[in-house]
Amino acid sequence: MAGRSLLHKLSPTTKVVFLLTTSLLALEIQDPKLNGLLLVALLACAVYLRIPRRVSLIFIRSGIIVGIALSISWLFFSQVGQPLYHIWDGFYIYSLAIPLTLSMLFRLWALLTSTMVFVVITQESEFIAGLRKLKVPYVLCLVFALVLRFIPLLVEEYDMIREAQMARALELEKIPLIPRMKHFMAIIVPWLVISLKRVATLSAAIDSRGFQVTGGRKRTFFHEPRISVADSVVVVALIGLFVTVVVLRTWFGYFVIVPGRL
Amino acid sequence: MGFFSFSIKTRDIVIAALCGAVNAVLQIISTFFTPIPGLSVLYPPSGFGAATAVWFGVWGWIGAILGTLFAAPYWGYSLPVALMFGILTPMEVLIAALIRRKLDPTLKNKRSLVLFVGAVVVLGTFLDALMGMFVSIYVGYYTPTLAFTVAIWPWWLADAVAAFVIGIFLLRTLTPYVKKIGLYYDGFFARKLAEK
Amino acid sequence: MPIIHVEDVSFRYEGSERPALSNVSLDVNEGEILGILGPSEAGKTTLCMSLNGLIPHDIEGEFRGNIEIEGKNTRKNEPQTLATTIGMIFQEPESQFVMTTVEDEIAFGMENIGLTPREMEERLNWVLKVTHMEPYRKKPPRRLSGGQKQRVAIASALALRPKILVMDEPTSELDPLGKYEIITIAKELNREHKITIVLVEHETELAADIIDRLIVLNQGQIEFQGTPVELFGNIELMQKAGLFVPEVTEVARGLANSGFEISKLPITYAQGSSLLKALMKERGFGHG
Repeated sequence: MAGRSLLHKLSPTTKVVFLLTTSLLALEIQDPKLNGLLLVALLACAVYLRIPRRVSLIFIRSGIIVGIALSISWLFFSQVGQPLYHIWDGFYIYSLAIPLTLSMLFRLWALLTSTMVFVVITQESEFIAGLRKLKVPYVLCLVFALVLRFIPLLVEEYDMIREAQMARALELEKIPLIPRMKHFMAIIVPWLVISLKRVATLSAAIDSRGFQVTGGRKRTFFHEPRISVADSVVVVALIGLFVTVVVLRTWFGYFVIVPGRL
Repeated sequence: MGFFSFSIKTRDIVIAALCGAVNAVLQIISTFFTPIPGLSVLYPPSGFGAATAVWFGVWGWIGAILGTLFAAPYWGYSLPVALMFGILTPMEVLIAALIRRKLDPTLKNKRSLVLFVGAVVVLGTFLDALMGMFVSIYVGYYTPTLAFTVAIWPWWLADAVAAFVIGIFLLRTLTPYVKKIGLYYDGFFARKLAEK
Repeated sequence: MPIIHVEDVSFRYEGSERPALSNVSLDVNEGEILGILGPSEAGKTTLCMSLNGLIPHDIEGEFRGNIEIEGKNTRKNEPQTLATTIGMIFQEPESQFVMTTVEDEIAFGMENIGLTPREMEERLNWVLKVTHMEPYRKKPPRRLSGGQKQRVAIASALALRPKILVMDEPTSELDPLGKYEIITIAKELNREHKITIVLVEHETELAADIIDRLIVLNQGQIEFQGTPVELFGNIELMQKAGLFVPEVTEVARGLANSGFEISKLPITYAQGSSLLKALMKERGFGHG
């Protein structure tokens, strides 16, 4: 997903900071107006990036389904403020439930949008470089890189095995639960065996290329993410905003509807 | 011997990463069948996580954490939320890793089977659901009432069924293979011992 | 001094009863291509892993004897240290990759040994050229063909500038084109870049074309050490060792038994075709 937008060109460190601060901001704020504002800002980024449908569909799907569950949960089941509307025997919608529901909903969507933007503007290799720049120990970076590298491969192999099984008339969707579970196991056993076999070879290959887990040589890095002026501005702005919000909330009680939790 | 005398080997990293990737893919697959976290009849990552904890100890547990981190976008979690869920919820995996030395890994021994079912399938997954509720409430997905009256039960059930069906199945069928290829670990942290 | 010196090496895997290697001794000179042949479970992979230190450092078991790689003893030097002298390519291409682009994959090893980004860029360009993988620099290894994947694996090992490359059945999972690519690169690396190569190969015809010397391993012991001509000409020995005789050699043998005069049994296609042409010319067929 190589792109030319300004957001793409930011240093990966900035991108990670972006993800963290926007997520934490959304979590800190309970005020629907502000969560809504954050959501609109993030959606603006998403629109600017012209995110491919393949990616946005995943997040939109989550957004709708979890959003519905969440709205029902907060609207009908939260007991904050005064009882307002009587719906059912003993069931009321409380006065603060509506703003709270909106806030939670906007928060959910803001979190999703921020993750979506991050995933689109960050390539795998620079994500690792970004983490490393943030002083994440290299061992952890390597673990992350390996997971990122394995996931698409595993998905492919899963599909391959599933199709091979389908050729032997084992279709998963149209059959009742218990046989479906059996067929699922029929897929995951070979799937896991293939992966487990890899462990020995991969460990050997990694060691054969000089990797040392601890101590010894100092490790250097091929990608040296450059920090531009834009990066510094963005990072300072985001962190500044976050700190301001935290201070305002913690010491002055802003942005809170239900105290004591996020 | 014990806690502080271990050192990480490359193989440990690879196993943790592999468990993480498998866990993440299983989570992604299950989102297509269980759109709302907790609402399903079967949650395969629990079963797989428990099995890897018995085989690989702490590395299986780390795999479970990684799995949640990398499957986060599919659930609608963002990074800090994913971290909270990832570290606090896989209790059945953690418990399985802690009691693994008291178990016969193929679970053919009746006592081992009972211990596994009690500690991991029943207790572990209950704690998983409990932690899941706490995090969900804290983050704002569920209200406390909804969480403890409605949401916790399907979550527990899905995990327990998976730990029972998939976990036991994997341990019965694949343990010999894991031992054969020399990946069976000795103890929670210690160097692996290729018992054949 | 030989660049690889193996002295009376035996190894038994942990939990195994039978030793995988028994009293193996051999020397490899710099600039040679050594072939290692033998049936499966003969100990070929075990020997390879002993050469770069994976045995005894990473693999549990009982290791006896001494191996010296350019004078460095493998007991005293871990694979990570030996990596700049001896590199290794494994059988399954997909199982060797750590990163998601070819460039990062090749850089991984270089980062491990602490090169500067500029040095890395230079070496990256060099190995991409040598393995003819320049257009694929930013591509994910996952999406490449088998032969291309192995070339990336070779490039990654080569980036550490080892003097020796050990290749453990690098072509067994490849299609014919891929096999040809890898053998060609091995030959180029040896002839043009003076890299010593230890090649474990099942396909005797492929191997015959490029190896200078070879050993036959069977049940952990060396059954034969010598040149390809000595081995491939000796069909009985090959069959005893469970090896496939190159087709050309069988054909020539058949011809010899039918009365044709053949002074030297061919072992490569090129030799076979020259022989046939010569025979036909003798009998007045064809235009020479």
